[in-house]
Amino acid sequence: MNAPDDSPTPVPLTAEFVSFRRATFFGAIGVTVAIAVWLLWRTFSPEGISVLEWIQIVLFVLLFQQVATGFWLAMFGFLTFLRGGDPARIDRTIEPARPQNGPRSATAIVIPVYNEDVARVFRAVEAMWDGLRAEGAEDGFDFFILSDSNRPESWLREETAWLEVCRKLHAFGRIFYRKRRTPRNGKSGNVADFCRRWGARYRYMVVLDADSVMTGRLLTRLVAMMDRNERVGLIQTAPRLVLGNTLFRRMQQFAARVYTPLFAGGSNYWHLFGANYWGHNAIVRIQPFIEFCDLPDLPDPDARKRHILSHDTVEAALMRKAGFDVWFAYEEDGSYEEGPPNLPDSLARDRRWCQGNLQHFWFLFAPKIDFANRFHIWMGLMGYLSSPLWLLFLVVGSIDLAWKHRISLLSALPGSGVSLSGEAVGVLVVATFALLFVPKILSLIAALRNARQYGGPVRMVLSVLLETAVWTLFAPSLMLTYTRFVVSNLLGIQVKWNTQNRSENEGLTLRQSLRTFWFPPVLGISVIVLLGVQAPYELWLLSPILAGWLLTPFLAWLTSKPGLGIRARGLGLFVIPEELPESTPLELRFVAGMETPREDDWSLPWGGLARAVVDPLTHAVHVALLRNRQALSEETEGYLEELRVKLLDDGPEALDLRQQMALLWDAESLQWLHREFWSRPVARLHPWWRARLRAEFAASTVPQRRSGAAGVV
Amino acid sequence: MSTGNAQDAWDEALARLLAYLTAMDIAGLEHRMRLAVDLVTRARENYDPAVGPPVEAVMDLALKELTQWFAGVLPPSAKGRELATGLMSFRVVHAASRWPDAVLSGSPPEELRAALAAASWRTGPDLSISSMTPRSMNYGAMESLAQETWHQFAWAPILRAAAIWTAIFFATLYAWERIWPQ
Repeated sequence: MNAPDDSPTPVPLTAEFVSFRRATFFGAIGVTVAIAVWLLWRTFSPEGISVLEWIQIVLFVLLFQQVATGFWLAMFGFLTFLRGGDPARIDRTIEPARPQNGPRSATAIVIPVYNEDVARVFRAVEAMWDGLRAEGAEDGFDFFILSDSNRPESWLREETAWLEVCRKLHAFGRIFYRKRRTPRNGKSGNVADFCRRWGARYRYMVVLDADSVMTGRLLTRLVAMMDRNERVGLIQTAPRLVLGNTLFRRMQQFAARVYTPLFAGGSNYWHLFGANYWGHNAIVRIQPFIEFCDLPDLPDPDARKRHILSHDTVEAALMRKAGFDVWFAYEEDGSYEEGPPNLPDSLARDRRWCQGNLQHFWFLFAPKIDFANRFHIWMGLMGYLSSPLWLLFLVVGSIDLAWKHRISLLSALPGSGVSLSGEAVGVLVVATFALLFVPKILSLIAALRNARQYGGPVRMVLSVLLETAVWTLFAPSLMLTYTRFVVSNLLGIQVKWNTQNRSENEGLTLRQSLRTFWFPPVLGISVIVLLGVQAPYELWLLSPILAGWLLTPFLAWLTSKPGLGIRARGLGLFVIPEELPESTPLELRFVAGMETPREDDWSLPWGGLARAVVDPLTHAVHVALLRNRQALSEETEGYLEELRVKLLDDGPEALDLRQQMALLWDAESLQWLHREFWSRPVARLHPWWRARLRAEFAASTVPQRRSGAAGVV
Repeated sequence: MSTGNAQDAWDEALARLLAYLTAMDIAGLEHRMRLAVDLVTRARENYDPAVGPPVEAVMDLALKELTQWFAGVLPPSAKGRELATGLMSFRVVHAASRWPDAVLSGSPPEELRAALAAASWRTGPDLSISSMTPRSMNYGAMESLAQETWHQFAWAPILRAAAIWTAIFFATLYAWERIWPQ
C-alpha cells in the first residue's frame, strides 16, 4: 500500500479522467454480467432454451447486475485503498489537519424533528455547540430546531428543552426553535419552509436528522470545503452508526464501520462530483438549493401521491441538473447517526424508503438528469425491486428444475434431463458467491490494520463471521418482506411517514417477534412439506433459504435485546473504533453520557396538555412563544370556548388529539384554563385534574392535613 | 358556612397559592411563605363570599398582582400576556437565583429591570423571505405515456389481470409440454 497523499490540491477532473473512471467501472460490471450470462446460457443450451429458461436469463441479468455492481464498488474501493487513497476527493481541496481558521460563511444547522426523543435532540445540539466553541467557530453557526411534531407532549417538551439549552449555553439568538402550524410535505417541506423564511440570511445549511451528531471540527471543515469550491452545491458526509446497545444495532454499526469505507471509496471512484444526497449529515449551498431544488410534483393522477417522499435523491439530481457539483466526503471523521434498534423497526423504515425509492422511477427517464443520478436512482429502485425479482427467479428456477427432473426420470436416453451438474453451473455458483463475499473479505483486510480498534484481529474476524451468518439467515425473510412492500406500493397502499423508533427499551418479546414474523416460518414449513413430497432433491439446494425462514422470528427476538448486545461488547465482539475512549470525539462522548430519562409526568397520558395548563413555567413558555391571536370568527370563538370548558369539566379524555391541538394553538384559551385550574375549589375539579393538583402539592412544601380539610385533594 | 369549613376553605386557598408559587420557581421558600401569607391576609380582608370561594379570591388576587408586577417591569410589547412573558423573561435572565426576593416586593431593583428589558428569547431571527417554488419538471416519455393512459387508472385490476394471464400462460405451457412432449 502506498503512503497516503494528503496534498491539498486534488487531481484536475478533466473529461478524460472522468470518462476513464466511468468506463473502467461500468465496463467491469458489464463484462462480469456478460460472463455470468454466458455461463448460464451454457448451462441451459444443451437442451435448447425453453421459455422458463428465457425468463430466468432475463431475471438473472437484472439481478446479477446488482451483485456485480456491489462487487466492483468494493473492488475499486480496495484498489483505491491500496494506492493510499483517492486523489480526487473533495476534502483534498483544503488543508488536511490544520484547523480551519479565518472568517466563515454564515451557516445554519437545521434539525427537522417530528415527535422525536427531545432530550436526545437537544443533547446533540449542546454537544455540537461545545464542539464548535472548542474550534473557536461558534460565531459562524446558528442552530434551528424545526418542529413538525403533532403530539402535545413532544411540542411542549421541545419548547422547554429549547429554553433550557439556550439558558445553559447563553445561546439565545443563536439557537432557534420553529414550530410549523401546518406541517405540509413532511421533512422536505419543513426544510423548504426554513429556506423561505431565513435561507437568505445564510450561505450554507447543514441538514441533520434528529439522531445526528457532527463534530465541530467536521462542521468547520465542510464550510471550508464549500468556501473553497464555489461550484459545489452539496457535500454529503458518511455518517457512522453509533451508540447501539441491542445486538441488532451493534451488528449493523459494526458492519457499516467495516464495509462502508471500501464501498464509499468505490462510489467516489466513479461518480466523483455526481454523488448522492442522503437527506442528512450534509452541507448544502442554500442559494441554488432555493432556486433549483424545490421538489416538483410527480405526474401521478392521484393528488395524494404527487408529493415526493424520499426527497434527498431528487434534490441531488436537481442540484446536478442546475450545474452544481455534489460530492461525497466519505473519508471525513466526525459524522454520526443512530440505527434502528431491531429488525421490525428497521423494516418499518425500509417500508417508507421503499415507497420513496419507487417514486423515483419517474426521474429515471426524465430529460437532463445527470447520468450519475440516474444510476443512483436505478440502484435505489433495485434495492427493493430485486426482492420480488429474486423470489420470481427462485420460483421459476424451482419449477424448471422439477420439470427437468421429471423429464429425466421419464427419459431412457443417457445424458438427457437435468444438466445442472455441468461445469458451467459450478463456475457460476462459485462466481456468484465470490462476488457476494469477496467485498466482505476485502473490507476485512482493509480494516485489519486497525484491528485493535475493533476488539483485536480474532474477535474482529469472529464478528464478521457472526454478522454474515445472521444477515444470511435474515436475507430470505427480507426478500419476502420487501416483496410485500413493493406489491403493496404498486397496489397503491399508502405508507404513513411515522417517527422512526430509536429507543432500545427491553427489546422484543418472543410473542411480539412471532406475531411480526409468523409468515416466513409458515411458508418455510409449507415449502419443506411440498418439496419433501414432490421434489426432495431440491431441499438441499433451498436449505439456506428455508433455514432463514424458519429462524427469523427467533433471530429477530434475540438480536433486539440490549443485554445481549452489551454482553457481546463485553466479549469484544462488534466493537467499533468510536467506542474506544481515545478515539471517541468529545461530542459523541457527551451524547453517549446522556442519562436515560426517568418516567415523569410528561410520560403520563395527556402529560403535555396537562403541563401546558397546570405548570406555570411550561404554560408561560408555550404562551409566550405563540403568535398573537388574529381576530377569530364568532363560530371559532364559540368552538374554542366549548373545548376548554369540556377539557376542564370532563378531563382530557373528552377531547381528541385535533381538539387538544386546537386549544394548544390558542394562547387565550390556555391562559383561561391556567387561571381556572388554579382558582377552582377541589370539589369542582374533575378527578383527573384533581390528581394533577395533588401532584403539584406533592412538589410543594405545603404540609397537608390527612383528612377532613378542604385542602386535601 | 361553619367556622370549621371556613377555615378549611382558607387553608385550601393558602395551600393552593403556595403550590402555585412553588411551581412558578421564582423565589426562595421563605419569600414564598411571606408572599402567600400576605396575599391570603389581604384577600381575606376584602373577601366577599358572594363572588366565590376563598381559593378563587386568593388566586385571583395573586394572579392579578403578579400580572401587574410583571407589567411594571416588562416592555409594552408584552401586553396581554404579562404573566407568561414575565415568567419566561425571569427564567431567561436567571432572575430566581439572582433576585430571589424581588417578586411582588414593591418596586423591582433597577438591575432586574434592566436585565428583563434586555432579555431576548426570540425563537427565530428576522425574516428574510425568499421565493422557493418548484420549477416545472419534464419527466419525458414516461410522463406522456402516463398522462395519455392514466385518465382513469388503478393498479389493482391491472395486477389481477396480470396474475390471471400469468396463470393462463403457465397452464398453456404445462399443457403443451404434457400433450406434445419433446
